[in-house]
Amino acid sequence: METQRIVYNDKVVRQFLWASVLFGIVGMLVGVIIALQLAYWPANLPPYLSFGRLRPLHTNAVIFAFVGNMLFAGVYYSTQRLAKARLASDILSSVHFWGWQLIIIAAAVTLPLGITAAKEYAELEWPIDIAIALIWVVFAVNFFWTLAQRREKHLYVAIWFYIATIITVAVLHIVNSVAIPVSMFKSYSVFAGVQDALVQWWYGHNAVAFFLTTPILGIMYYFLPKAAERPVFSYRLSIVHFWGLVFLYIWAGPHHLLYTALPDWAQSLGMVFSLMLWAPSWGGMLNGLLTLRGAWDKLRTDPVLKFLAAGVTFYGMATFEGPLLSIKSVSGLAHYTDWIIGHVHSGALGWNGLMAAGMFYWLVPRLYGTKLHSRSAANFHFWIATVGILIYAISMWVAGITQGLMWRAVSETGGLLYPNFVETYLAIRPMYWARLVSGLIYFAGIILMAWNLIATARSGAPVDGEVEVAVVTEPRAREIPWPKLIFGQPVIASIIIVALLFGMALFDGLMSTVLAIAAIMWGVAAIAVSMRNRSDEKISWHHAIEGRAGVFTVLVVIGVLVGGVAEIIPMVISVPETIRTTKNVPYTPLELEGRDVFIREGCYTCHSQMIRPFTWETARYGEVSTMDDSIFDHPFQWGSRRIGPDLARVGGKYSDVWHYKHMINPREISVGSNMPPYPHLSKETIDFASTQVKLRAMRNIGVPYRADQIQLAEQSAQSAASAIAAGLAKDAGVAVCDEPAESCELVVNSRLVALISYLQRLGRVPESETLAAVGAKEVAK
Amino acid sequence: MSDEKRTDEIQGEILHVYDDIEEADNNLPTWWLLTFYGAVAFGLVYWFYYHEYGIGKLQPEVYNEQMAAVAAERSIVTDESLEALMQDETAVAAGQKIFTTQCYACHDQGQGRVGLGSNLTDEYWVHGGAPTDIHSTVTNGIPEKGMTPWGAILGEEGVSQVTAYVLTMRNTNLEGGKPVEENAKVWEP
Repeated sequence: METQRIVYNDKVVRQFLWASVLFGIVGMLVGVIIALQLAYWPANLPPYLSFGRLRPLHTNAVIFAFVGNMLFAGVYYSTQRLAKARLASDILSSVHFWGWQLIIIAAAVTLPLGITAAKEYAELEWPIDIAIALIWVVFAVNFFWTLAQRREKHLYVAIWFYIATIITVAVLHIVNSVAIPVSMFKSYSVFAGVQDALVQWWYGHNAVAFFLTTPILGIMYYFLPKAAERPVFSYRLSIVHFWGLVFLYIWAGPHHLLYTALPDWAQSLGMVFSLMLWAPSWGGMLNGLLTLRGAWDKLRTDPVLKFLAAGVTFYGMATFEGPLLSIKSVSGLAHYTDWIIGHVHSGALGWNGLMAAGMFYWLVPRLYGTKLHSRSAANFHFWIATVGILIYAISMWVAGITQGLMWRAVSETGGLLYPNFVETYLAIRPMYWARLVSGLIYFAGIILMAWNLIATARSGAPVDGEVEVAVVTEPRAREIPWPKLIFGQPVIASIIIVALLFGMALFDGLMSTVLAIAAIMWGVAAIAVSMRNRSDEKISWHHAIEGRAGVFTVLVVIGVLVGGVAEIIPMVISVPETIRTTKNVPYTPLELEGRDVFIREGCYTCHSQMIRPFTWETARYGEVSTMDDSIFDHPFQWGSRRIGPDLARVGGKYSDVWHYKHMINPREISVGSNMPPYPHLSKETIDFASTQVKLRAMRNIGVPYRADQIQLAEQSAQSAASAIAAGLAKDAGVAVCDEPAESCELVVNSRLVALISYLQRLGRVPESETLAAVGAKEVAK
Repeated sequence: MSDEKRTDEIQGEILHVYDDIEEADNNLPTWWLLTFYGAVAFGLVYWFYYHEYGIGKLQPEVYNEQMAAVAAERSIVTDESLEALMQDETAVAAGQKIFTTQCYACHDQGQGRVGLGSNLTDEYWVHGGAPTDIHSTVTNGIPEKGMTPWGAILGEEGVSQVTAYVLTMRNTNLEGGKPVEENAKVWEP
C-alpha cells in the first residue's frame, strides 16, 4: 500500500495556546481588580479604570481572549488529527491568529475609553464587530476546508461540536450586533427595548452555550479519552446529548428575562426549555466521567486527568444550577443578585478554567517533545484552583441569597425591612472580600501554570505532529444522494413533532391538547422505530450523515435556527404595532446625550432598569416596568445585576441637586455606598452640534423624531442644559460656567448635566411632549 | 477507522476508532433518560396549566390581586390619631429610627439641607403643617422637589410613626437650620 506523510500545522496551535495563557492572566487580573472595587470603592480610578468600564473588559477578556484562544488551539490540534489532514491553509491560520489578537487588543483599548455598545458580552463597537465576523469566517473557511480534505470518512463527535460552534456563533454574533453607526466609535442597536432584550439574551445565553460549552465539550471528547487512554463510554449518548443541546439550548435565552416586561409566553418557553436542557447537559458530563471507568486510579497521579475530571464535574454542577435558576420562583430570588455571578464562575473557573489547564498540561509537553516540567506544581495548581472555586461559589451563594432575601423582607409595619439599598450591600460586603481572596487564590494557580508551561516548553523544542496515511487510489464508492439523508426518517419525524407543537401557538385549549398528544405519540413511535432499526446490520442513518460534513452542517443549522426563529420573529412582528400605540415619547436631545453617558460609563453593569411585579419590588422602585417604558431604547438598558438600586423610575424621585452631589461624591448622599465617584463628568463637555446626527440615526431605526426636532436638536439640548445648570447654581450655589476653568465646578454642556437630564426622565413621560406622540403616528404610517 | 472490532472489558464492544480514540456504545443510563422525559413532560404540563388552559395565575395577575388586597385594608388617618401617636414613646422611637436612616440624607437631623430637604424644626411648612398634611407628604412625596413617596417603602404604620416623630421636632429650632424657604407658611392649628 502506498503511503503519504502528513505534517500537522502545530505552530498555530502553539500560538493560540500561549495567547490563551497570556490573556488568561490579563483577564483574571482584571477580575481581581473589579472584585476589589466592589468591596473597596477607592480602587476605582475614574474615568478609565472604574468598575463600569472594567467589568466588560473582564468578561470579554476571559470569554473571547482566554477561552477563545484556548478553544482555537484545541480545535485546530484535534481537528487535524481527527481528519488526518493538515490545516487547509497556513495563511488563513495565521490571519486567524493575528486577526483575533488584534481584535482583543482593540477591545482592551476601547472598553476602558468608554467605547461600548452596552450589550453584555457584545460591548465591542461596530468596526470591531465587523472584524470579529470576518475573522470568524476565516476560521470557518479554514476549518471546513480542512474537513473537505479529510482522509477519515466519518466525523468524530468532537467535530460535531466544533461545527455547531462555528455555525451558531456566527449567527448569534451577526444578528445581535446589527446596529446603525453614528460615528466611527458609536452605534445604536437596531433593536429596541423588549426586542433588543430578547435578541441580546438569545445571544448572551448562547454565547455561553456555543462559545464556552460546545467547543469545550468537543475538546473534552478528544483530550479526555486521550489522557485516560480509555474508550469513550457511549456513541449513542453522544448522539442524543449533542442534538439535545443543539436544539434545546437556543430556546433558553428568555430565562435571563423572567418577570420582566418580556411577554409571558416567551418567559415560560425560556423556563421549560432550560429544564429540558438539564439532561442533555448531563449527557456530556456522563459521557466524560464514564469514559474514566477503568482509569480512576490514574486520577491519583496524573494532573491532566485531575483537571479534566474536575472540569467535567463542575460542568455538571453548573448545568444543574442553571436549570434550577431558570425556575421562575427561584429566579425571582436570585435574579439581579450575586448568585448568578457565582453560577457563571462555577462554569468559567470550574469548567472552562480547569479544562483549559488540563488541555495545556497535556499539550505543551507534546508540542515541545518533552515532559511536563513539574508534576507536583501542576498538582498543587489543581488543589488551589479547586479551593479557589469553592470559596468563590460559596461566598456568592451566601451574598446572593442574603441580598435577595433582604430586598424582599417586609417589616412589621408593612413596609420594607431594609428600605435603604446600601444596607443590603453592607450586609454582603464581607462576602466580597472572601470572593476577592478566592479570586487571588485561583489567579495564583494560573501564574503557577504559566511558569510550569514555560519551563516545560524551554526544556524541549517545537515539534510538529506527523502521521503516515494510506494514499487513496481506488475511486470513491457511490454516495447516498444528499436529499435522501437530509430528509431521512429522524429528520421527518422531528419536523412533524415540531410542527405539531408549533401548532399549539395557533390554538388554545382542546385543539392544543390534541396536537400535543399527537406530537407525543409520534415521538414515542419514532423512538420505537429507531430502536428496532438499530439491530439491523446496515449502517445507521446517523453514521451515514457523519460521513457527510455538508449534510451534517445543514442539519445543525436547521436545529439551531428553530428556537431562535420561534421566539424572535413574533417579537419583531409585534413591535411596530406597539410603537404605533405607545404613550411613550422619544427622549429629548439632551436626554439622549445623557443616555449615551449612561452607556459610556457602563452604568448598566450595576443598575437595572426593569421593575418586576412583586409588591416588595414596586414598594422600593415604583410601578412595574412595561414594554412601553423602553420602546425607544436602542439599546435596551434593563441590566442584569443590581449592585446598586434599579433606576427604571428614578426620574423625579430626587432633585437635580441630589443627583449632582451624588455623582460628585456618592458617599455624601448615600453613606456606605460603593458607587465610584464621577467628578470628571462635570468638566467633560459634549458637542451638541453632533446631537442632530444621533437623532437622525435613531429616526432611521424607527424612533419617531419629527424633522423640526432633529433640526433644532442643538438649540434644544443647549437650552435644556442651561436650565438644569441654572437650577443647580440657584439651589445649591454650584459654580457654573460655559467653558472648563479652574474656578468652575460644573460646565453647562457637560456630560454630568446631560446625565442628570436622562436620569430625571427615567420612568416619566412628559405631558407637554404629546406632539411627539402625534409625530409617532405619522412615522408609523 | 479499522474494521476488526475489539471488545473492552469494561466499556464493551468498540464501535469506532478515531485517531486511536476508541468509541464504545453503551446504553443510555435509565435514570438519565427518565430525567429527560420527566423534564419534557413537566414542560408540557406547565405550558397547558398556565398558557393553554390558564388554570394557574401568572405573576402579573398575582401581583395585581395582592395590591388590591393591600388597598382594601388601608385604614383612615386623622390629625387626632397622629397626635395621639405622638404621645406613644415606642412609636416615636420607631419613627426616629426611620428618620435617621431614611430622611437624614436630605433633612439632616431635621435642620434640612440647602438644595435638598426642608427644615422641619422651625415653625414654617412648605407643604402644609397639619399632621395629616405631613402624613400625606411622606406618603406621596413631592416628586418635583425630589421628595420620595415613602408610602410603599415604609408601609402604612412606618409612615405614621415617622410622621409622629416629625411632629415632635416642630419648633425645636435645631442649630444650623435651613433658612425659611419661599412659599413657607407658619402653621397654626
